[in-house]
Amino acid sequence: MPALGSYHRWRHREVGNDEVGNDAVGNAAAGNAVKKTSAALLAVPLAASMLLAGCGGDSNPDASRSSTASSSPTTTAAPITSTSPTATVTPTIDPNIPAAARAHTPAGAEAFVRYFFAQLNRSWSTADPSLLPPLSEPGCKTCGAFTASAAKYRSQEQHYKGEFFSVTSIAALGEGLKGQEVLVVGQQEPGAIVDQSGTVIESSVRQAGKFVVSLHWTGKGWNTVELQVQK
Amino acid sequence: MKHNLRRGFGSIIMATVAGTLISIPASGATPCGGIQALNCSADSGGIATGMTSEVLDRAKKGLNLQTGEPDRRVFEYTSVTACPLSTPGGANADAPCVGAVQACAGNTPQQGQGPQVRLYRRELDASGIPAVTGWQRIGTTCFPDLVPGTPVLGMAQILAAFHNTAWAKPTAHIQPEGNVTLVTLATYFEVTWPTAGFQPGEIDTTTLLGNRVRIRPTVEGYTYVFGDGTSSGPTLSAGGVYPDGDITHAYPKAGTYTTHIDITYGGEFSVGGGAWLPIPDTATVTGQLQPLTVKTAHARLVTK
Repeated sequence: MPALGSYHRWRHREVGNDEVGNDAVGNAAAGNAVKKTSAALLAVPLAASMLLAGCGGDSNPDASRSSTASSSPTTTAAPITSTSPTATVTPTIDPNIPAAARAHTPAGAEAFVRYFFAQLNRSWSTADPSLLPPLSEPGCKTCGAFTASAAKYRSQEQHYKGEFFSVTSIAALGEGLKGQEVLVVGQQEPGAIVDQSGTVIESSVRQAGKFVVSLHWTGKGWNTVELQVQK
Repeated sequence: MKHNLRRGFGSIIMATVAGTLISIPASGATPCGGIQALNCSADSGGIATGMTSEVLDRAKKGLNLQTGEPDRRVFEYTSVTACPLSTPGGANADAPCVGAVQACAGNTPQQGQGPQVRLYRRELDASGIPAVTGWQRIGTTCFPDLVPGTPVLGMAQILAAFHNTAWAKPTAHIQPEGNVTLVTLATYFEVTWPTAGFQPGEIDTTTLLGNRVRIRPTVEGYTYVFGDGTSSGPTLSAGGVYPDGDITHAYPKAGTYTTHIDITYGGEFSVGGGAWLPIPDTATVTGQLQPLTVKTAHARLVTK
Protein backbone atom coordinates (compact mmCIF):
# COMPACT_ATOMS: atom_id res chain seq x y z
CA MET A 1 0.00 0.00 0.00
CA PRO A 2 1.32 3.42 -0.80
CA ALA A 3 2.26 5.60 2.09
CA LEU A 4 0.02 8.43 3.11
CA GLY A 5 2.26 10.67 1.10
CA SER A 6 0.55 9.48 -2.03
CA TYR A 7 -2.29 11.69 -0.98
CA HIS A 8 -0.89 14.45 -3.09
CA ARG A 9 -3.33 13.19 -5.67
CA TRP A 10 -6.10 14.85 -3.72
CA ARG A 11 -5.93 17.99 -5.72
CA HIS A 12 -8.25 20.89 -5.55
CA ARG A 13 -10.89 20.68 -8.22
CA GLU A 14 -13.15 23.31 -9.62
CA VAL A 15 -16.74 22.44 -9.04
CA GLY A 16 -19.03 22.45 -12.00
CA ASN A 17 -16.92 20.99 -14.74
CA ASP A 18 -17.21 17.34 -13.90
CA GLU A 19 -20.61 17.77 -12.42
CA VAL A 20 -21.80 18.28 -15.93
CA GLY A 21 -20.64 14.86 -16.94
CA ASN A 22 -22.19 13.23 -13.92
CA ASP A 23 -25.60 14.65 -14.45
CA ALA A 24 -25.43 14.14 -18.16
CA VAL A 25 -24.84 10.45 -17.92
CA GLY A 26 -26.75 9.69 -14.78
CA ASN A 27 -29.90 11.50 -15.70
CA ALA A 28 -29.90 10.31 -19.24
CA ALA A 29 -29.63 6.80 -17.97
CA ALA A 30 -32.47 7.28 -15.59
CA GLY A 31 -34.61 8.79 -18.23
CA ASN A 32 -35.09 11.92 -16.21
CA ALA A 33 -35.84 15.27 -17.70
CA VAL A 34 -32.70 17.33 -18.03
CA LYS A 35 -32.38 20.76 -19.50
CA LYS A 36 -29.51 22.38 -21.23
CA THR A 37 -27.70 25.29 -19.77
CA SER A 38 -26.92 28.58 -21.38
CA ALA A 39 -23.68 29.23 -23.16
CA ALA A 40 -22.79 31.87 -20.66
CA LEU A 41 -22.92 29.46 -17.80
CA LEU A 42 -20.55 27.17 -19.61
CA ALA A 43 -17.81 29.70 -19.49
CA VAL A 44 -16.99 28.79 -15.93
CA PRO A 45 -16.75 25.05 -16.52
CA LEU A 46 -14.64 25.72 -19.59
CA ALA A 47 -12.27 27.90 -17.67
CA ALA A 48 -12.10 25.32 -14.94
CA SER A 49 -11.40 22.65 -17.52
CA MET A 50 -8.52 24.60 -18.99
CA LEU A 51 -7.13 25.31 -15.57
CA LEU A 52 -7.27 21.68 -14.60
CA ALA A 53 -5.64 20.58 -17.81
CA GLY A 54 -2.80 22.92 -17.07
CA CYS A 55 -2.15 21.44 -13.66
CA GLY A 56 -2.53 17.84 -14.61
CA GLY A 57 -6.20 17.52 -13.86
CA ASP A 58 -8.75 15.89 -16.05
CA SER A 59 -10.26 17.97 -18.78
CA ASN A 60 -13.78 17.63 -19.99
CA PRO A 61 -13.98 18.13 -23.73
CA ASP A 62 -17.67 17.47 -23.71
CA ALA A 63 -18.29 20.45 -21.51
CA SER A 64 -16.24 22.79 -23.64
CA ARG A 65 -18.02 21.83 -26.82
CA SER A 66 -21.56 22.19 -25.66
CA SER A 67 -23.10 25.51 -26.37
CA THR A 68 -26.77 24.85 -26.61
CA ALA A 69 -28.55 27.93 -25.41
CA SER A 70 -31.56 27.88 -23.23
CA SER A 71 -33.48 30.34 -21.21
CA SER A 72 -34.03 27.79 -18.50
CA PRO A 73 -32.58 28.66 -15.13
CA THR A 74 -30.05 26.35 -13.63
CA THR A 75 -29.26 25.39 -10.10
CA THR A 76 -25.52 25.20 -10.48
CA ALA A 77 -24.98 28.34 -8.49
CA ALA A 78 -28.34 28.86 -6.94
CA PRO A 79 -27.91 30.45 -3.55
CA ILE A 80 -30.45 30.37 -0.80
CA THR A 81 -33.01 32.89 -1.86
CA SER A 82 -33.09 36.25 -0.25
CA THR A 83 -36.36 35.39 1.43
CA SER A 84 -34.77 32.42 3.11
CA PRO A 85 -33.76 32.90 6.73
CA THR A 86 -30.41 31.37 5.86
CA ALA A 87 -29.53 34.39 3.80
CA THR A 88 -28.86 36.22 7.02
CA VAL A 89 -26.40 33.59 8.24
CA THR A 90 -22.81 34.62 7.74
CA PRO A 91 -20.52 31.63 7.35
CA THR A 92 -17.47 31.68 9.56
CA ILE A 93 -14.85 29.14 10.26
CA ASP A 94 -16.13 26.69 12.81
CA PRO A 95 -13.54 26.68 15.63
CA ASN A 96 -14.97 23.45 17.01
CA ILE A 97 -14.00 21.26 14.07
CA PRO A 98 -12.07 18.38 15.61
CA ALA A 99 -8.36 18.23 14.87
CA ALA A 100 -8.83 14.86 13.16
CA ALA A 101 -11.28 16.48 10.75
CA ARG A 102 -8.72 19.06 9.64
CA ALA A 103 -6.33 16.55 8.10
CA HIS A 104 -5.96 16.39 4.32
CA THR A 105 -6.29 12.62 4.27
CA PRO A 106 -9.08 10.12 3.69
CA ALA A 107 -9.38 9.71 7.45
CA GLY A 108 -9.58 13.48 7.80
CA ALA A 109 -12.35 13.63 5.22
CA GLU A 110 -14.24 10.92 7.06
CA ALA A 111 -13.84 12.73 10.39
CA PHE A 112 -15.05 15.96 8.82
CA VAL A 113 -18.18 14.28 7.46
CA ARG A 114 -18.85 12.68 10.83
CA TYR A 115 -18.67 16.13 12.39
CA PHE A 116 -20.87 17.57 9.63
CA PHE A 117 -23.64 15.07 10.39
CA ALA A 118 -23.31 15.71 14.12
CA GLN A 119 -23.80 19.40 13.40
CA LEU A 120 -26.71 18.62 11.07
CA ASN A 121 -28.41 16.73 13.86
CA ARG A 122 -27.66 19.52 16.32
CA SER A 123 -28.90 22.11 13.85
CA TRP A 124 -32.32 20.48 13.74
CA SER A 125 -32.61 19.47 17.38
CA THR A 126 -31.80 23.01 18.50
CA ALA A 127 -33.28 24.82 15.48
CA ASP A 128 -29.94 26.51 14.91
CA PRO A 129 -29.32 27.56 11.29
CA SER A 130 -25.81 28.81 12.00
CA LEU A 131 -24.13 25.41 12.33
CA LEU A 132 -23.91 24.14 8.75
CA PRO A 133 -22.90 27.24 6.74
CA PRO A 134 -19.37 27.28 8.18
CA LEU A 135 -18.97 23.68 7.02
CA SER A 136 -20.34 24.03 3.52
CA GLU A 137 -19.93 26.04 0.38
CA PRO A 138 -22.71 28.40 -0.68
CA GLY A 139 -23.46 26.26 -3.70
CA CYS A 140 -24.27 23.19 -1.64
CA LYS A 141 -27.96 23.01 -2.35
CA THR A 142 -28.86 20.29 0.10
CA CYS A 143 -26.83 21.90 2.88
CA GLY A 144 -28.71 25.12 2.25
CA ALA A 145 -32.03 23.33 2.30
CA PHE A 146 -31.31 21.73 5.66
CA THR A 147 -30.22 25.11 7.01
CA ALA A 148 -33.33 26.76 5.65
CA SER A 149 -35.47 24.19 7.42
CA ALA A 150 -33.62 24.82 10.70
CA ALA A 151 -34.19 28.54 10.27
CA LYS A 152 -37.87 27.99 9.65
CA TYR A 153 -38.17 25.88 12.78
CA ARG A 154 -36.41 28.56 14.78
CA SER A 155 -38.71 31.29 13.51
CA GLN A 156 -41.70 29.15 14.43
CA GLU A 157 -40.23 28.12 17.79
CA GLN A 158 -40.09 24.48 16.82
CA HIS A 159 -37.37 21.87 16.73
CA TYR A 160 -36.74 18.27 15.76
CA LYS A 161 -37.24 15.80 18.59
CA GLY A 162 -34.90 12.84 18.30
CA GLU A 163 -31.75 12.21 16.30
CA PHE A 164 -32.39 13.39 12.77
CA PHE A 165 -29.99 11.03 11.00
CA SER A 166 -28.08 8.29 12.80
CA VAL A 167 -24.76 7.48 11.13
CA THR A 168 -23.83 3.82 10.99
CA SER A 169 -20.62 4.04 9.01
CA ILE A 170 -18.53 6.51 7.06
CA ALA A 171 -16.02 5.61 4.37
CA ALA A 172 -13.97 7.67 1.93
CA LEU A 173 -14.50 6.92 -1.77
CA GLY A 174 -11.78 9.09 -3.25
CA GLU A 175 -11.97 11.78 -5.88
CA GLY A 176 -15.32 11.88 -7.60
CA LEU A 177 -17.04 14.17 -10.02
CA LYS A 178 -17.67 16.98 -7.56
CA GLY A 179 -14.80 16.59 -5.15
CA GLN A 180 -13.52 14.12 -2.62
CA GLU A 181 -16.39 11.79 -1.97
CA VAL A 182 -17.32 10.21 1.34
CA LEU A 183 -20.05 7.62 1.73
CA VAL A 184 -22.35 7.87 4.75
CA VAL A 185 -24.54 4.91 5.67
CA GLY A 186 -27.19 5.28 8.31
CA GLN A 187 -30.85 5.65 9.08
CA GLN A 188 -33.40 8.13 10.19
CA GLU A 189 -35.30 6.89 13.21
CA PRO A 190 -38.88 7.97 13.83
CA GLY A 191 -38.91 11.55 15.06
CA ALA A 192 -40.97 14.68 14.87
CA ILE A 193 -41.00 18.42 14.60
CA VAL A 194 -42.51 19.69 17.85
CA ASP A 195 -43.37 23.11 19.15
CA GLN A 196 -42.54 24.54 22.55
CA SER A 197 -45.39 22.69 24.19
CA GLY A 198 -44.27 19.39 22.69
CA THR A 199 -47.12 19.22 20.23
CA VAL A 200 -46.14 17.24 17.13
CA ILE A 201 -46.25 19.40 14.03
CA GLU A 202 -44.90 16.85 11.58
CA SER A 203 -43.50 13.39 12.11
CA SER A 204 -40.93 11.28 10.29
CA VAL A 205 -40.76 7.54 9.75
CA ARG A 206 -37.80 5.21 9.81
CA GLN A 207 -35.69 5.24 6.67
CA ALA A 208 -32.36 3.65 5.99
CA GLY A 209 -30.14 4.96 3.26
CA LYS A 210 -26.88 6.43 2.08
CA PHE A 211 -25.51 9.87 1.41
CA VAL A 212 -22.58 10.76 -0.79
CA VAL A 213 -20.85 13.86 0.53
CA SER A 214 -18.54 15.71 -1.84
CA LEU A 215 -15.81 17.74 -0.17
CA HIS A 216 -13.49 20.48 -1.29
CA TRP A 217 -10.11 21.05 0.34
CA THR A 218 -9.66 24.77 0.76
CA GLY A 219 -6.03 24.56 1.77
CA LYS A 220 -6.96 25.10 5.39
CA GLY A 221 -9.68 22.55 5.79
CA TRP A 222 -12.61 20.71 4.26
CA ASN A 223 -15.81 22.23 2.97
CA THR A 224 -18.93 20.42 1.83
CA VAL A 225 -19.60 20.95 -1.86
CA GLU A 226 -22.68 18.77 -2.13
CA LEU A 227 -24.70 16.31 -0.15
CA GLN A 228 -26.62 13.79 -2.21
CA VAL A 229 -28.77 10.79 -1.45
CA GLN A 230 -27.34 7.78 -3.19
CA LYS A 231 -29.77 5.75 -5.22
CA MET B 1 -3.42 -7.44 -9.08
CA LYS B 2 -4.61 -8.77 -12.36
CA HIS B 3 -4.25 -5.56 -14.30
CA ASN B 4 -4.14 -1.91 -13.69
CA LEU B 5 -4.95 -0.37 -17.00
CA ARG B 6 -7.53 -1.92 -19.18
CA ARG B 7 -6.49 -1.19 -22.71
CA GLY B 8 -6.48 -2.89 -26.04
CA PHE B 9 -8.81 -3.52 -28.88
CA GLY B 10 -11.73 -4.35 -26.68
CA SER B 11 -11.51 -1.05 -24.89
CA ILE B 12 -11.35 1.22 -27.92
CA ILE B 13 -14.83 2.51 -28.33
CA MET B 14 -16.48 4.89 -30.71
CA ALA B 15 -18.48 7.59 -29.01
CA THR B 16 -19.77 11.01 -29.80
CA VAL B 17 -19.09 14.18 -27.92
CA ALA B 18 -21.66 14.23 -25.23
CA GLY B 19 -23.66 17.40 -24.87
CA THR B 20 -23.35 19.38 -21.72
CA LEU B 21 -26.36 18.93 -19.55
CA ILE B 22 -27.12 20.32 -16.18
CA SER B 23 -30.01 18.99 -14.22
CA ILE B 24 -32.62 21.41 -13.10
CA PRO B 25 -35.20 20.69 -10.45
CA ALA B 26 -38.50 20.36 -12.19
CA SER B 27 -41.52 22.05 -10.81
CA GLY B 28 -43.10 19.74 -8.31
CA ALA B 29 -39.80 18.10 -7.43
CA THR B 30 -39.38 17.05 -3.82
CA PRO B 31 -36.49 19.15 -2.59
CA CYS B 32 -33.89 17.87 -0.17
CA GLY B 33 -33.78 19.26 3.33
CA GLY B 34 -37.21 18.17 4.47
CA ILE B 35 -38.12 16.16 7.51
CA GLN B 36 -37.50 12.88 5.67
CA ALA B 37 -33.80 13.24 5.08
CA LEU B 38 -33.68 10.74 2.23
CA ASN B 39 -36.74 11.87 0.32
CA CYS B 40 -35.23 14.07 -2.35
CA SER B 41 -36.75 13.39 -5.72
CA ALA B 42 -34.52 12.43 -8.62
CA ASP B 43 -35.05 15.77 -10.35
CA SER B 44 -34.15 17.85 -7.30
CA GLY B 45 -30.42 17.59 -7.89
CA GLY B 46 -29.99 15.92 -4.53
CA ILE B 47 -29.73 12.40 -5.85
CA ALA B 48 -26.49 10.69 -6.82
CA THR B 49 -27.13 8.07 -9.45
CA GLY B 50 -24.60 5.69 -10.89
CA MET B 51 -24.21 4.68 -14.50
CA THR B 52 -26.68 1.96 -15.38
CA SER B 53 -25.98 -1.23 -17.27
CA GLU B 54 -27.69 0.34 -20.29
CA VAL B 55 -25.24 3.25 -20.34
CA LEU B 56 -22.28 0.90 -19.98
CA ASP B 57 -23.62 -1.17 -22.83
CA ARG B 58 -23.69 1.94 -24.99
CA ALA B 59 -20.06 2.61 -24.09
CA LYS B 60 -19.11 -0.91 -25.08
CA LYS B 61 -20.90 -0.56 -28.39
CA GLY B 62 -19.34 2.80 -29.16
CA LEU B 63 -22.62 4.65 -28.92
CA ASN B 64 -23.31 8.06 -27.48
CA LEU B 65 -23.76 7.50 -23.77
CA GLN B 66 -26.80 9.72 -23.52
CA THR B 67 -28.64 9.24 -26.77
CA GLY B 68 -27.57 5.78 -27.80
CA GLU B 69 -26.88 7.10 -31.28
CA PRO B 70 -23.81 5.99 -33.30
CA ASP B 71 -20.63 7.92 -32.57
CA ARG B 72 -17.62 8.91 -34.61
CA ARG B 73 -14.99 9.56 -31.97
CA VAL B 74 -12.75 6.90 -30.51
CA PHE B 75 -12.41 6.58 -26.77
CA GLU B 76 -10.33 4.39 -24.57
CA TYR B 77 -11.88 3.42 -21.26
CA THR B 78 -10.53 2.35 -17.92
CA SER B 79 -11.98 2.03 -14.47
CA VAL B 80 -10.78 1.95 -10.89
CA THR B 81 -12.48 1.06 -7.66
CA ALA B 82 -14.14 3.99 -5.90
CA CYS B 83 -11.44 4.17 -3.26
CA PRO B 84 -9.16 6.95 -2.03
CA LEU B 85 -5.97 5.37 -3.34
CA SER B 86 -7.30 4.07 -6.65
CA THR B 87 -6.10 5.91 -9.74
CA PRO B 88 -5.97 4.87 -13.39
CA GLY B 89 -2.83 2.89 -13.91
CA GLY B 90 -2.01 2.94 -10.22
CA ALA B 91 -1.02 -0.03 -8.15
CA ASN B 92 -4.34 0.01 -6.30
CA ALA B 93 -6.59 0.55 -9.28
CA ASP B 94 -8.59 -2.61 -8.70
CA ALA B 95 -8.26 -2.94 -4.95
CA PRO B 96 -11.65 -2.77 -3.24
CA CYS B 97 -12.24 -0.79 -0.06
CA VAL B 98 -14.97 -0.49 2.54
CA GLY B 99 -16.62 2.48 0.85
CA ALA B 100 -16.71 0.92 -2.60
CA VAL B 101 -18.32 -2.21 -1.18
CA GLN B 102 -20.81 -0.35 0.99
CA ALA B 103 -21.79 2.02 -1.81
CA CYS B 104 -23.49 -0.87 -3.61
CA ALA B 105 -24.34 -3.03 -0.60
CA GLY B 106 -27.92 -4.17 -0.47
CA ASN B 107 -28.44 -3.78 -4.20
CA THR B 108 -30.11 -6.44 -6.25
CA PRO B 109 -28.20 -7.95 -9.19
CA GLN B 110 -30.32 -5.71 -11.42
CA GLN B 111 -29.07 -2.65 -9.52
CA GLY B 112 -25.46 -3.82 -9.58
CA GLN B 113 -23.74 -5.24 -6.53
CA GLY B 114 -20.44 -3.44 -6.83
CA PRO B 115 -17.90 -2.77 -5.64
CA GLN B 116 -18.46 0.71 -6.96
CA VAL B 117 -16.01 1.75 -9.66
CA ARG B 118 -15.23 5.03 -11.32
CA LEU B 119 -15.21 4.97 -15.10
CA TYR B 120 -12.73 7.08 -17.06
CA ARG B 121 -12.15 7.64 -20.72
CA ARG B 122 -9.82 9.50 -23.04
CA GLU B 123 -10.05 10.20 -26.73
CA LEU B 124 -7.76 8.47 -29.18
CA ASP B 125 -6.57 9.80 -32.50
CA ALA B 126 -6.75 7.93 -35.78
CA SER B 127 -3.61 5.96 -35.00
CA GLY B 128 -4.92 4.87 -31.62
CA ILE B 129 -2.74 7.24 -29.62
CA PRO B 130 -4.38 9.20 -26.81
CA ALA B 131 -5.27 12.61 -28.18
CA VAL B 132 -5.42 14.16 -24.74
CA THR B 133 -3.37 13.65 -21.63
CA GLY B 134 -5.03 12.43 -18.53
CA TRP B 135 -8.21 10.54 -18.00
CA GLN B 136 -11.62 12.11 -17.84
CA ARG B 137 -13.94 10.83 -15.15
CA ILE B 138 -17.38 10.18 -16.55
CA GLY B 139 -19.18 8.60 -13.64
CA THR B 140 -19.49 5.77 -11.18
CA THR B 141 -21.31 2.50 -11.40
CA CYS B 142 -22.17 -0.55 -9.31
CA PHE B 143 -21.60 -2.76 -12.38
CA PRO B 144 -17.82 -3.30 -12.35
CA ASP B 145 -18.28 -6.42 -14.44
CA LEU B 146 -19.94 -4.48 -17.25
CA VAL B 147 -17.46 -1.65 -17.76
CA PRO B 148 -15.71 -1.52 -21.14
CA GLY B 149 -12.47 -3.45 -21.31
CA THR B 150 -11.39 -6.44 -19.28
CA PRO B 151 -14.06 -7.71 -16.89
CA VAL B 152 -13.48 -6.61 -13.34
CA LEU B 153 -14.03 -8.81 -10.34
CA GLY B 154 -17.33 -7.80 -8.83
CA MET B 155 -19.20 -8.45 -5.63
CA ALA B 156 -21.61 -10.64 -7.54
CA GLN B 157 -18.82 -13.19 -8.02
CA ILE B 158 -17.63 -12.77 -4.45
CA LEU B 159 -21.16 -13.14 -3.11
CA ALA B 160 -21.62 -16.27 -5.21
CA ALA B 161 -18.42 -17.70 -3.76
CA PHE B 162 -19.58 -16.72 -0.28
CA HIS B 163 -22.86 -18.56 -0.72
CA ASN B 164 -21.05 -21.57 -2.17
CA THR B 165 -18.91 -21.92 0.93
CA ALA B 166 -18.99 -25.37 2.46
CA TRP B 167 -20.33 -24.14 5.76
CA ALA B 168 -19.63 -25.99 8.97
CA LYS B 169 -22.86 -27.00 10.66
CA PRO B 170 -22.83 -26.31 14.39
CA THR B 171 -23.62 -29.19 16.69
CA ALA B 172 -25.30 -28.80 20.05
CA HIS B 173 -23.46 -30.07 23.10
CA ILE B 174 -26.17 -30.63 25.67
CA GLN B 175 -25.94 -31.01 29.43
CA PRO B 176 -26.89 -33.21 31.23
CA GLU B 177 -24.68 -35.45 29.12
CA GLY B 178 -26.05 -38.24 26.99
CA ASN B 179 -28.83 -36.16 25.48
CA VAL B 180 -31.19 -37.10 28.31
CA THR B 181 -32.60 -34.52 30.68
CA LEU B 182 -35.45 -34.10 33.13
CA VAL B 183 -38.62 -32.08 33.06
CA THR B 184 -38.16 -28.55 34.49
CA LEU B 185 -34.42 -29.09 34.85
CA ALA B 186 -32.21 -26.37 33.40
CA THR B 187 -30.66 -27.95 30.33
CA TYR B 188 -27.50 -26.33 28.95
CA PHE B 189 -26.69 -25.83 25.27
CA GLU B 190 -23.30 -25.11 23.78
CA VAL B 191 -22.07 -24.73 20.18
CA THR B 192 -19.47 -27.23 19.02
CA TRP B 193 -18.01 -27.58 15.55
CA PRO B 194 -17.38 -30.58 13.33
CA THR B 195 -14.14 -30.88 11.39
CA ALA B 196 -16.01 -30.68 8.09
CA GLY B 197 -16.71 -27.32 6.54
CA PHE B 198 -15.58 -23.79 7.24
CA GLN B 199 -16.55 -22.50 10.66
CA PRO B 200 -16.21 -18.87 11.79
CA GLY B 201 -12.61 -17.68 11.45
CA GLU B 202 -11.53 -20.42 9.04
CA ILE B 203 -10.41 -19.10 5.67
CA ASP B 204 -11.72 -20.48 2.40
CA THR B 205 -9.49 -19.55 -0.55
CA THR B 206 -10.61 -19.53 -4.15
CA THR B 207 -9.65 -17.96 -7.47
CA LEU B 208 -12.03 -15.62 -9.26
CA LEU B 209 -11.15 -14.06 -12.62
CA GLY B 210 -7.51 -14.69 -11.85
CA ASN B 211 -7.66 -13.11 -8.41
CA ARG B 212 -6.92 -14.97 -5.20
CA VAL B 213 -9.98 -14.37 -3.08
CA ARG B 214 -10.14 -15.35 0.57
CA ILE B 215 -13.43 -15.64 2.41
CA ARG B 216 -13.54 -15.75 6.18
CA PRO B 217 -16.90 -16.60 7.78
CA THR B 218 -18.08 -14.64 10.80
CA VAL B 219 -20.97 -15.15 13.19
CA GLU B 220 -23.95 -12.87 12.82
CA GLY B 221 -26.05 -14.87 15.24
CA TYR B 222 -26.99 -18.27 16.66
CA THR B 223 -30.57 -19.44 17.10
CA TYR B 224 -31.09 -22.29 19.55
CA VAL B 225 -34.09 -24.38 18.55
CA PHE B 226 -35.24 -26.54 21.46
CA GLY B 227 -37.67 -28.71 19.53
CA ASP B 228 -40.71 -28.05 21.69
CA GLY B 229 -41.82 -25.03 19.74
CA THR B 230 -39.54 -22.61 21.54
CA SER B 231 -36.19 -21.15 20.64
CA SER B 232 -33.64 -18.64 21.87
CA GLY B 233 -31.90 -16.04 19.77
CA PRO B 234 -30.56 -14.93 17.46
CA THR B 235 -27.68 -14.22 19.79
CA LEU B 236 -23.93 -13.98 19.52
CA SER B 237 -23.58 -16.28 22.52
CA ALA B 238 -22.14 -19.70 21.79
CA GLY B 239 -23.75 -20.98 24.96
CA GLY B 240 -21.80 -23.00 27.49
CA VAL B 241 -21.83 -25.68 30.12
CA TYR B 242 -23.02 -25.84 33.71
CA PRO B 243 -22.93 -23.62 35.69
CA ASP B 244 -21.91 -20.58 33.60
CA GLY B 245 -23.56 -21.28 30.26
CA ASP B 246 -26.06 -18.58 29.34
CA ILE B 247 -28.25 -20.65 27.02
CA THR B 248 -30.52 -22.93 29.01
CA HIS B 249 -33.98 -24.32 28.59
CA ALA B 250 -36.32 -26.11 30.98
CA TYR B 251 -38.72 -28.47 29.23
CA PRO B 252 -42.18 -28.47 30.79
CA LYS B 253 -43.21 -31.85 29.39
CA ALA B 254 -41.59 -35.20 28.88
CA GLY B 255 -40.93 -36.43 25.37
CA THR B 256 -38.34 -36.70 22.65
CA TYR B 257 -37.42 -33.45 20.95
CA THR B 258 -35.25 -32.63 17.96
CA THR B 259 -32.93 -29.77 18.79
CA HIS B 260 -30.50 -27.86 16.62
CA ILE B 261 -28.48 -24.68 16.60
CA ASP B 262 -28.85 -22.59 13.47
CA ILE B 263 -26.22 -20.07 12.54
CA THR B 264 -26.42 -16.96 10.43
CA TYR B 265 -23.04 -16.52 8.83
CA GLY B 266 -21.62 -13.19 7.82
CA GLY B 267 -18.22 -12.93 6.28
CA GLU B 268 -15.21 -10.95 5.23
CA PHE B 269 -13.29 -11.14 2.01
CA SER B 270 -9.83 -10.23 0.81
CA VAL B 271 -8.68 -9.88 -2.79
CA GLY B 272 -5.07 -10.52 -3.73
CA GLY B 273 -3.85 -10.39 -0.14
CA GLY B 274 -5.48 -7.02 0.48
CA ALA B 275 -7.35 -5.83 3.52
CA TRP B 276 -10.27 -7.78 4.93
CA LEU B 277 -13.58 -6.16 4.03
CA PRO B 278 -17.07 -7.05 5.20
CA ILE B 279 -19.28 -9.06 2.86
CA PRO B 280 -22.63 -7.27 2.60
CA ASP B 281 -24.75 -10.39 2.90
CA THR B 282 -25.51 -13.28 5.21
CA ALA B 283 -26.28 -16.98 4.91
CA THR B 284 -28.28 -19.01 7.41
CA VAL B 285 -27.36 -22.67 7.95
CA THR B 286 -29.33 -25.21 9.94
CA GLY B 287 -27.19 -27.05 12.46
CA GLN B 288 -26.92 -30.77 13.03
CA LEU B 289 -30.13 -32.26 14.42
CA GLN B 290 -29.77 -33.57 17.94
CA PRO B 291 -32.47 -35.72 19.54
CA LEU B 292 -33.04 -34.98 23.20
CA THR B 293 -35.07 -37.16 25.54
CA VAL B 294 -36.85 -35.40 28.37
CA LYS B 295 -37.95 -37.66 31.21
CA THR B 296 -40.13 -37.18 34.22
CA ALA B 297 -38.48 -37.81 37.57
CA HIS B 298 -40.56 -39.52 40.25
CA ALA B 299 -39.58 -38.98 43.87
CA ARG B 300 -39.63 -42.17 45.90
CA LEU B 301 -38.97 -42.74 49.55
CA VAL B 302 -36.80 -45.81 49.90
CA THR B 303 -36.34 -47.57 53.17
CA LYS B 304 -33.51 -50.00 53.66
